[in-house]
Amino acid sequence: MINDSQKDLLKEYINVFVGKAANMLSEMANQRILLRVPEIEILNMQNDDKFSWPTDGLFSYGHIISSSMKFGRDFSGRALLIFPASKAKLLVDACLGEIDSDDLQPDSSQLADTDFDVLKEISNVILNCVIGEFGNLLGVKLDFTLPDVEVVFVSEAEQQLYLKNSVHILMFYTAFTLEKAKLDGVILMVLGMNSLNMLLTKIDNILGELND
Amino acid sequence: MISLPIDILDKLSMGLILLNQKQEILLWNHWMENKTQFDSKSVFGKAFSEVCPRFQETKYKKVIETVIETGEGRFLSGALHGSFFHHFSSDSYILPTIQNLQIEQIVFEDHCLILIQVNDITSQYHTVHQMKSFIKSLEIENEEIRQAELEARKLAVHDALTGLPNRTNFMNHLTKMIRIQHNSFNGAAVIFLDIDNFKIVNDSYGHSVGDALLQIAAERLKASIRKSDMVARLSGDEFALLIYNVNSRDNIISVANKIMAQFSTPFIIGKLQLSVTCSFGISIYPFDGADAVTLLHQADTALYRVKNDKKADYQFYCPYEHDDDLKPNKMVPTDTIAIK
Repeated sequence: MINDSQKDLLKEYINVFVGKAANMLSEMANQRILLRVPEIEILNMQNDDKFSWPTDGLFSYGHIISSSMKFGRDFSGRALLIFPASKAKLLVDACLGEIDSDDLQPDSSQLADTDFDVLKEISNVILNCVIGEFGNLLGVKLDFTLPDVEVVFVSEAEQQLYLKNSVHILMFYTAFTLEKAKLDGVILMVLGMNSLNMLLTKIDNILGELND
Repeated sequence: MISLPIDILDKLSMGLILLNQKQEILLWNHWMENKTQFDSKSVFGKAFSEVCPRFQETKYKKVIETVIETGEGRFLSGALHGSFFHHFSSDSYILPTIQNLQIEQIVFEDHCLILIQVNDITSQYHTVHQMKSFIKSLEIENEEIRQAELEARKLAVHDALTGLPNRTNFMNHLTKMIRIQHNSFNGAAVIFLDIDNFKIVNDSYGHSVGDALLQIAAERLKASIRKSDMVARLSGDEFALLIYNVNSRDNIISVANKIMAQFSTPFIIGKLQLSVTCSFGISIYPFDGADAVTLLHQADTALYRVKNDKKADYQFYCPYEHDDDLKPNKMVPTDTIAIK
């Protein structure tokens, strides 16, 4: 599906995209954010019945916070920002300036309605940035929706159902490290075959230009 | 498709604002009129940033500009940004209100417009804040109770003077060790130790010196055993040690020599320099007893044999040398301590 050269170039672009998103998050959280170079995978849900998430620990079954946003026109799909629910409160508190270093293991059940609003804005900023950068890379204009934020309990069996209708998923996972808390997150872009081909064609073109 | 009358926008229980690309107000619905001091006629055609001054700040200007340029939607949460519009009461008092804003681009008859949806979350925000404060106070209270319980539990099983486990704690560990090691080949040693002529130190220099001596002795005993072993203060000048995983007598002799070595250097307490010795008896599990009480008793028996002999020494419990004349109540310490 994707060769090493395509993967490397895509990784480089995504690193820049996620870096820009991290800068915006840094402004919101009002603290420095360190970013791990993202790992990327293209997953095919149909051909792999024994699908398992490549991010051990992060995506073990349990509660997760999932924000999803649709984007469309020529390059279309759904983008999701996912991280463990137990860490969501840390991120919210950091953005609200309420982080308490003595309380780094908050319970996700403490997330209040207004905390979900903050998570919605965080997801909005990060996903807008990443999707927008993909649009710029492909030179296409995209339509955006606003994200829906939900707490999802994902059992082992439901990991597949959660994304059942998707054929191909471009998945990049990274770790944002805030000054006072470590936050692992996954960004998924669920793409149809046409959109994925469009992206890989663009990557091939750039690789061709580089080789010329 | 039916065409909806514009009045329907005034029936909505949320604010709607429509801007053109120059960010001039085209629509200001009835909800917005109610929640601000502006009516729709007075704001029509005005710059949005003039009516909502927070949008003169660079970061909010940039939000609208980005929505116009890229078509992306932006959500601004009231919890994060606070109030965008002030609510004026009938007597013109400004009431603090908090709103969520949703800013999106819409295309209408070839015109690119900006739709701003405004949701008042003031009461929700205050409820959440009250709830958060309540949870925080509960957490603090809970932590205080937890700390008090920990402290009480620690006091119940620890000696306040030396910080060492007390007799109850020692006996629990010894009983647990026997239960775990039952059917295994691992042995263990129980050492019953007391400080020679401690009463004379107390009588001569007072209890504060006696207490300081016990504290130093506790530290020295800890230094002579492994972290996995245990030392406890039973009472007065009596200490007990539990040495795990003993394979031979040599293991115990090695520990005994370390204890002796620890007591070979003088105890410095203020300006005093006291040469103090200790005596102890040793029993070995499983040979000298199969329960905690017996093992401690046999170590105690061995100790009193030492005390009756020459002190400053140790002995292993020996069942065949038991002598009724050496019972504790017949022992009278007479030696004096050496004071430099």
